[in-house]
Amino acid sequence: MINPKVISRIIANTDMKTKLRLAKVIPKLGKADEITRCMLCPNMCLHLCPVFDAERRLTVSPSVKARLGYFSENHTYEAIYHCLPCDACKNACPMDISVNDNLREIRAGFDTEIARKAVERIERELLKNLKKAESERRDGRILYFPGCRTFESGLFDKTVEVLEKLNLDFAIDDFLCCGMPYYELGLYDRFKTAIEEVKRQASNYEGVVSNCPHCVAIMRENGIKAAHLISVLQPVKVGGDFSFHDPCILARKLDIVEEPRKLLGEMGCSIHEPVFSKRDTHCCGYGGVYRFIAPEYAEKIASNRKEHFSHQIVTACPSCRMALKAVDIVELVGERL
Amino acid sequence: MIDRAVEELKAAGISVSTAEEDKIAYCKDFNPLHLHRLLKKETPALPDVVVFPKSTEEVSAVLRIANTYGVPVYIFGGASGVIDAATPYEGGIALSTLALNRVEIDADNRMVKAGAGVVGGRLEKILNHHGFTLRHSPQSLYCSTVGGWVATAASGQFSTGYGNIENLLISLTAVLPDGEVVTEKMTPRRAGPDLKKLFVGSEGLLGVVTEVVMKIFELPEEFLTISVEYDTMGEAVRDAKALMSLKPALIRIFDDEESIRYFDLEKFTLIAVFEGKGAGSRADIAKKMVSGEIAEGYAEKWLGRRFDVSDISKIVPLGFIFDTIEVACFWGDAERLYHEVINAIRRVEGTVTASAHASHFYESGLCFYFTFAGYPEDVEKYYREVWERAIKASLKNGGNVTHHHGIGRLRKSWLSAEIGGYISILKDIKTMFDKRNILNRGVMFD
Repeated sequence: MINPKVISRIIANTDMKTKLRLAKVIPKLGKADEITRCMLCPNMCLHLCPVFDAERRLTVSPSVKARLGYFSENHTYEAIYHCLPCDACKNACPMDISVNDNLREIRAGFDTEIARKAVERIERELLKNLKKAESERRDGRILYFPGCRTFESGLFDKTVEVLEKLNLDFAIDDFLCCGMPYYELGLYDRFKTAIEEVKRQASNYEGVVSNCPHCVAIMRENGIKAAHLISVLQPVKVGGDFSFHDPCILARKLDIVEEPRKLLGEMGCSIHEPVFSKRDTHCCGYGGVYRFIAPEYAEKIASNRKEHFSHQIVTACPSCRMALKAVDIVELVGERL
Repeated sequence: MIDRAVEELKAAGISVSTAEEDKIAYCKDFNPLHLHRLLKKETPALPDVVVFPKSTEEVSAVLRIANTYGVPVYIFGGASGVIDAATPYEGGIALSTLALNRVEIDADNRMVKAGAGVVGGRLEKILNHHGFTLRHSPQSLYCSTVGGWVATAASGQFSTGYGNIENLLISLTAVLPDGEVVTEKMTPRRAGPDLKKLFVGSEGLLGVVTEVVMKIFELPEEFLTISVEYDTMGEAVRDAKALMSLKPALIRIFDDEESIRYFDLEKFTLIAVFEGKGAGSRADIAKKMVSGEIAEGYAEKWLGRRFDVSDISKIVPLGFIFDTIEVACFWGDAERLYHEVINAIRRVEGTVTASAHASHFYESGLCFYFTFAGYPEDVEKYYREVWERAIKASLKNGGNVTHHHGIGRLRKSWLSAEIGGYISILKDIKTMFDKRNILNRGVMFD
């Protein structure tokens, strides 16, 4: 919406020929698509982008990736995949643009070797979890949906133990993937198949609880009643000095920022905020599928992030836990429960 | 030649890329004309190769090899410069400084050592976490680099209180075009020649700055603002001159057009920030000193929006062209210069808006920052004409050519008007340092 006073000024100060041309174009003001608007920005979120910070080349900076997306016609570029769903860009953008959301649409338009290889790696990882989940099947009112990275990080058994001690009436069903990796790679058909299966499974329960902010976010976006595990945890006396690493998805998509701090406070812990915290957090590098595409840079992001802390890191995400060698809050609760 | 240079770069262990995506990434700076090329899916230029040296020694190796083969080298930080300085028109090597990104805070001595590729916004965030600030805050803070600040003689929003980059600079390391590394003993101050200043505003002609040591300040405990309304630019400028005696950290004067944009107010608006011990009493004195009408909240409104440049993204896709022209002048010329430059821009057919704010203040004068947007049929012709008329008006009315954006290729036709007879000295120095003219060829002069 243009300020009417600005319009009066333009009318007063602009030559007639330009005024006539302006009349046709003004209604279109600000309506360019996001990838175009992002490409035209001088990179005002460059200082916050964890991928750029690790790779140190403009090619993977937010507005240049938008440029490469805009330039993608007959083929696309590898840098289009060098992005995280952390939304550090969107969190700082006055236009509320998520670079990754837009790049995902570009990825969806191309069949690439990069995506195929990433799927192979991811599916190899997923298969490892099937048997483990099957061995723990149980019935209950709430579905415990661990998510693949809960297995990978070794949090599954610990979480089950904590949920039992908390007397939660929870079920463990067939292991399913929430579909996030396919979604992030722009493989929308595969994603749809995956999330429909999850929907069918979830419909048998009153709700879903998961360790993984990614799983919770994607389930919620697809109409499933899902909550992060932190909502069912109870404080136990622990004490000590900790720093909480806010998982990007937890803080920015699920809007869970104060809850873990409150819980840690009730557990007698002193919390020391790192540089980049709360909604202004910094990705650990293990978000989305980046680590299946550029593992060395994912590790670099993790190592950069670790440098921000001078106390034991606590987090609430299996991916962040792995990346930062952190303690998950469920483990902290489990130790003293 | 370029192929042999690339082979040698690889053999020297330098990270090198000839990938199309890297070339597209390093095809331009942020001169507004380039944006129109991008919209047509065109690149203003393309380097043959992009190199990512990780240390001063690697920069030295790159330049030695480039010098051997006479390959042009274009130096890139964040590519946020607006004067068409980094654009690799002759191909060659795009040298990215971004991998030079070490930060070492020396809290005891109130200084920070930063690699040339450190991005300003991240550096400031890290400093703030440790209780410090650089207080160098250009609007490009979030996307510009430390090396770029030095090379362009950058200035920030708090320059009135803390100085420009040259005032914050303690020491630097640079690599000359033949690969020689130059640095000096660090000291808070010295007499005798201060040749590091050769690199301040050199726009990459004389060498590649690889590391910079700068002053840092404790985050101020007190932070007070004042906001004042005026009927004319002249009244606001006179008050700003008087306020300088109170050592403000920041002053800005927005003309009536920019006041509408920021504050929905058809007046001239002065805002000032007072920081540190005694800021409260200085702000109180300031309120009593000024002749305009005291208002509330404008300073805070601007502080909240000072890095928002999203208007660019809204208007450029429609065919608008915009730019900013920053010039310095003495107090005595300020009011006349403001009106004459604004009128000169408005007289160009196609101009939709022409406005200004005064953004940096000194004991002897100030900087006006003009912003224009046009919707012409021929974007490039219009753009050149606005620049011609605006700079002519500035020079005629006591102003200069550039306050802090630099010369680049955009303003090189006015360089002699700016530095007079020093231009021949500059050319001699360039020839002495860069015999094969490999660095940022075509910048400042042909």
